[in-house]
Amino acid sequence: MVVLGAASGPRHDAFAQACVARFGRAPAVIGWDRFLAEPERLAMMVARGGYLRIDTPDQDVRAIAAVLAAGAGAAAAEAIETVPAGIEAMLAQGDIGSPTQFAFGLAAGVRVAERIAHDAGAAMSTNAADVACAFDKTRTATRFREAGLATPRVLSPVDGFDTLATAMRREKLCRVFVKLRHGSAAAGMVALARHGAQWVAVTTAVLVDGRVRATRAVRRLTDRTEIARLIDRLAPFGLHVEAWVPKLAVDGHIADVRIVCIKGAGAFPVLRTSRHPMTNLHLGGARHPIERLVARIGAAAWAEAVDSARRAAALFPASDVIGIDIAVLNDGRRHRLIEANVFGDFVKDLMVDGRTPYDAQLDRIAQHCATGAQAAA
Amino acid sequence: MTVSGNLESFAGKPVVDFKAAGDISDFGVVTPRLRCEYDSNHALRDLLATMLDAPGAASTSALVFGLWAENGETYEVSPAAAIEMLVAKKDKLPAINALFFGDITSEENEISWIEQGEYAAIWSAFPRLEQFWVRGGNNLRLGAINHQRLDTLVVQTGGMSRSLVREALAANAPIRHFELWLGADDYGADSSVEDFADLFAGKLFPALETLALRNSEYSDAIATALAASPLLDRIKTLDLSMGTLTDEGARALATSGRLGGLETLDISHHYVSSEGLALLRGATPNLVADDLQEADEWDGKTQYYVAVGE
Repeated sequence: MVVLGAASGPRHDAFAQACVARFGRAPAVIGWDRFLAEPERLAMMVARGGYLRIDTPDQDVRAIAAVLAAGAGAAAAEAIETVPAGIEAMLAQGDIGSPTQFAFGLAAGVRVAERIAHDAGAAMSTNAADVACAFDKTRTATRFREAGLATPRVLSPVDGFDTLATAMRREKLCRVFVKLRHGSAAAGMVALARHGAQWVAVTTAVLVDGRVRATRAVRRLTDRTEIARLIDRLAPFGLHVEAWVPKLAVDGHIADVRIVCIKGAGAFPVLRTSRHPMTNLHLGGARHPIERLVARIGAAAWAEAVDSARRAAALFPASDVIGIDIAVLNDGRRHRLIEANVFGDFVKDLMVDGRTPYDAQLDRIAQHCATGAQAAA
Repeated sequence: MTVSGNLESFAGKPVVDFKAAGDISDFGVVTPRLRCEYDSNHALRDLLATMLDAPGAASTSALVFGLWAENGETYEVSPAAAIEMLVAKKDKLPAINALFFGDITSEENEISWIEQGEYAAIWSAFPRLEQFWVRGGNNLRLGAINHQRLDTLVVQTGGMSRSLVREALAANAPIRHFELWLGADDYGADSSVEDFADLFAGKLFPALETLALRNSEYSDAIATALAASPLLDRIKTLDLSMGTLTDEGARALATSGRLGGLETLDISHHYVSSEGLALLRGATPNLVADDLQEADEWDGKTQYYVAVGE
């Protein structure tokens, strides 16, 4: 097996450890920056009938910068703001870069990897089409809705605070999530509410020297001008705006659910809670066994949520694993699909029947490699 | 911090949403909750009308009102029409002993944006009322509370006006549990410890068991005044949680010699040092002191924040 992903960092280490435990050795890994500079290296690494796992560059700023560079042309063609020169140092300080540019670069890279895997007759953990869609919150929501799955209402495209305010009034929505269309990990995300002429925004984003930084502090803004300035600064990166649906609380904390769906191995759910509208771990969120949620909403409502996650995962047919984020509404009965994360299997301490999402995938990969080796022989 | 969760139980019974006839088969064993959903256009009043016509609704003993909204907006939407209908149709709910107006979380509306109403007509309409809970202080009026049975009065706000504090304190009722969330002056809190002089002098609520002056920017002043108050000798629970208690208030309480009768002293969400906590623990074994806060240095001053100040 070969991994195209982070050459170091927590994600890399966790997967490598799982591989060592399962196969007695770590997988061959190529970092994104190296791969993008010399794709033929990957071609040399991928064995006939083997398996190529795609993962993110994680926190490696050099690799992120390389992916951004690969997406520059496509982003510029769509009038998305691209990153300036010297972005590496800025990324290290929490700069959000340009998530759409990043997603375009990643999809372009996966497309190249796809050709290499195809030539080698190797299987892949995902493909460029799935990556491109899952990274795009607007396309994902559309895909969910067209499949009959419930999502928060999506607002028409907005290009700044004024059009956002107008759209909210027109669509009779006074509470929305403003997200970067290709954003991840709550970077640049704003939970926004209006009450007459008053506004409140909850966000981790701060403006520093004209750039947007994601911080670990969740701030509450109430000054309309400051909120407008932030939204206007985020807009050139491409926005996705959806209704802020009222989420259920579990034990006094706001909750949502990540269900990691693995082909052939079912659902690995985890309950996430926080004091904030965003439940990310790095923002003080906590992870809990899903049983706490099931006890709260009952087996029937939970079964419906799992069914939705399975159907959602099936909309990304090339992906062996996909993390589906679900908000259970505060009536404890209904739910809404929020996002799909094609690299959503890195969840610490998530186990079902003593197995992690990595264990489940490695079983599958072992099977594939066994049959692949037979075929090659 | 904000109020994140809706009620799961109220007045000893599980809370169950009522949206349409058939949602609740036995009104005697649950607490129905009526509320607007973010994506539907049912007004609170219409939900109440539907419930009142449901078979068996007369056995409802506790009732919760959640989010009120119109056309997806909460701005300038009050529960007035629902209160009015509740009072007008009081004979349909003869067993009511507990009411909660405003089971609304931070996922639905800001507490400081909750538009409230006038509850003066409630007291004579529901003579069996024992508990009255309300969240949100905007335009909230309790009126003159003259009641034979009301023993629990809870008013939760992010910023409570002095006039509201006075209305609550003026309640002529056998109050055992008195709870106010006083809130932040940025959001309209303008009361002070002097407003509680009669209460602390022991002149009000002879049956008082639980005094909860929570979410206050002047927790230290409250603690200091209570330390010299005979009231502290006769209550069982003192709850100063969600506020801004520091070593100053903690020391006053610890050295008051009046904590011996307390079954609970809750100061959670506090700014008390480990030395201050040790002093308090020495004075009472019944201390609850979760959620230590760190003061902010800002503008050359030390800033202490309440838990719900918005």
